[in-house]
Amino acid sequence: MFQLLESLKDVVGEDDFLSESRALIVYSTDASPFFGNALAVLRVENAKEVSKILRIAYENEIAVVVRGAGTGISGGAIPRNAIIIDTKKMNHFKIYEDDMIVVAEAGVIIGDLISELKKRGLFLPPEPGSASIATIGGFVANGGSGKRALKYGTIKNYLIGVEAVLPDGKIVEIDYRTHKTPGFLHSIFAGSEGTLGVITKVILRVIPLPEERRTFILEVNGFEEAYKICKNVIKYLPESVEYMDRSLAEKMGFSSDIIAIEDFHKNERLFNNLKDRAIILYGEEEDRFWKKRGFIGVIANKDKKRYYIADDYIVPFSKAVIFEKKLRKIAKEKEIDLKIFSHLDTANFHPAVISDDIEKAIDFAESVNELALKFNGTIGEHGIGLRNIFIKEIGFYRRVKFCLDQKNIMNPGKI
Amino acid sequence: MFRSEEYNESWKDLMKCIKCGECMNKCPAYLITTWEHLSPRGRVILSNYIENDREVIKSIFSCFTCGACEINCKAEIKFTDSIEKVRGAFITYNINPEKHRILAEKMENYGNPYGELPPNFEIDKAELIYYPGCTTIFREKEIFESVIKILNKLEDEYIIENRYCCASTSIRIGYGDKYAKRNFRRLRDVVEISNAKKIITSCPGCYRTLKRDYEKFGGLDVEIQHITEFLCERIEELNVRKYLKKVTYHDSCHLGRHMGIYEEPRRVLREIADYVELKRSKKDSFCCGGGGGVKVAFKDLSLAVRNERLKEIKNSKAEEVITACPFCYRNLKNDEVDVKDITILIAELMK
Repeated sequence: MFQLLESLKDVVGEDDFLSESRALIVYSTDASPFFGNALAVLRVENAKEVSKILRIAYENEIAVVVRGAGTGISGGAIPRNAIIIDTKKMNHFKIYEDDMIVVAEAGVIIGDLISELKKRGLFLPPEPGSASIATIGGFVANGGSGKRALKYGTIKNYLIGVEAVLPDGKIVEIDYRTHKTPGFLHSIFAGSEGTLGVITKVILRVIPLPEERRTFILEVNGFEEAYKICKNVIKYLPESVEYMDRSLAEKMGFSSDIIAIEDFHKNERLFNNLKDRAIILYGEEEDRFWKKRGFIGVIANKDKKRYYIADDYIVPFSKAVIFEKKLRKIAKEKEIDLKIFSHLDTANFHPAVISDDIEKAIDFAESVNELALKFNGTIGEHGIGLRNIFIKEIGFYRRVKFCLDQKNIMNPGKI
Repeated sequence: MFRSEEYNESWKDLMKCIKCGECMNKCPAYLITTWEHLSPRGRVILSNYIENDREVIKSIFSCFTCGACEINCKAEIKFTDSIEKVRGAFITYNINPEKHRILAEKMENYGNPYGELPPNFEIDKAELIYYPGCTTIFREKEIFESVIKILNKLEDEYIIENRYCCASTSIRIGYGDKYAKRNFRRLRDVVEISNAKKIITSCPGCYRTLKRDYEKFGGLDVEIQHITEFLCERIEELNVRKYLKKVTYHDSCHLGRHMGIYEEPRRVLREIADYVELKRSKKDSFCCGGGGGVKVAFKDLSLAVRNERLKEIKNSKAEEVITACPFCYRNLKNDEVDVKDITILIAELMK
């Protein structure tokens, strides 16, 4: 083992290597409540280093977990006796303004990318709440989205190429620079959660930044009314429709449940439909609202413990109202303080579970998982992580994985 | 393993952490190194492991106590207060950087962290006590002399007191009240004998300690001002000429985020010079690298943080950066950027 650690250390150098320290516990967890066991951390700077590490790992059958900023909330980056490849030092990106294409290394912070794109009048619509610290590699690997997914889709819709290192150390470069691309191989990495190889670079297409923006806020009487309004307005294709229950909306300064509807294109029909009962936010006020919304799950819970568990479900749109009702019923039965916000236009729910007892929170999550499966629902955007009951045809998935990773070294046990 | 079961009662505030990681993009130690165990979230996790492990020690003792993470923490964790307690627990087991132990020894033997013999100032009746702080007295004497010049010009009756260090540094590095109480008692006596109504200090570390940390001992029954508050009130009486350079201001973490003093130094500077703001300023300001005992224990990290701040200053439109803290002044001084403490500047400009 000692010799193996030495050869791994030689790849990245002493300054970018951590092992045999209790500090590894920090790399054994993410934003989920669970911990695993990291054996070493290797901070890589390019695909070549990753390749060398994977060759050693493959030969010696050592598990490898890729880590961005460790902000995932499904436990996807939790290692079980695995070495960690930390991508944060791969943080360069280049924007091809005229082509509306960006090439970014895996460790680029999403927020940095978005603000540079903005300066050039460009826009990457999918954006997680953790954009200010999360990495683009992790976002792609989790197939994330955030709000606006009904109209603009998820990050998968923007991925047009990747540079990745396969488990045996082979570097593949699928270097498309066009808004439409043939083939499908680059897209298998989106949502692969580090199980097929290490994404070292992503090529994303972006779109022109909308010049106008405003947000309509409507106070509503419960989820059912919110759903009805959403159903009524999505035909006008607003950018997003977000819901927050009363307990959360109160933290934002409202007195009942609210829905917030984003409009980037001076949508006249939407405006006419909503103007009589909506407050309209512009500019800084609008920015402040969405910034606060990004952390609403934490803000709602200043004194008690919030667990990132049972935090992300998506159900068929027609089932949203009944799903919400049952969710609340289970929470009441299990004595869970539950707050709900959702990307309503895609029926993607983010329940915030607040409890003094992790066992109770897990018990609640298990019941809601069953409920979601009954409704033909699944995980929306936070990644499968430790919840592989939501994968359909897992045997098929494993056959695909076996083609690339016969020794099952890449993030084993996930998906 | 569920971390919530592991936490120590004395820093239970850290239990509110949900490990979202938002603190990381404000933490100087993390931003410079991008090592997660050198971030607030990493420190929260490692606060459960009081172990003699090099990287754990580096994690817990590389916090600059700058408070920047608290700005981003949506769970409103008072991280800086808690990390001091965590450090205290490590010290109980004799686990802390050797250089911090040496500093504590000097505090014990000399009453200040520099191991110098304090000058003997006479205690007399006076309205005002000037408490310069040990960095000012022993390392940045120009600040001390400038304040004296200012006070003399104002013709206020004042005395100088600096028998003991306020204990700011020793509190921040985990030694708790041990040395703070000693100075509190001394200062309380000096206030009583002199019948003073006000203490001013030119050091934000002292300012925070006297005004906030001594509260738990009952507080000093006297108004406490940082020199920038004092200058802001009295600038007109000083009759200073205009300064011809374009200046900017570097917020001290202790004065700004810890004590909320942002406007007073700016008001003074705007009054006398053409003023521009740095990119990261006020509550978003970036540490100079001089806080939390990091400079003593992990010099390279402290220097890297300082260089990051200097880079930002160099890229600004200012010709000179003004500090209001002897630590920041001492740390930022270099050959490429002009740095001056606000006290030195005002003393120079007095007609």
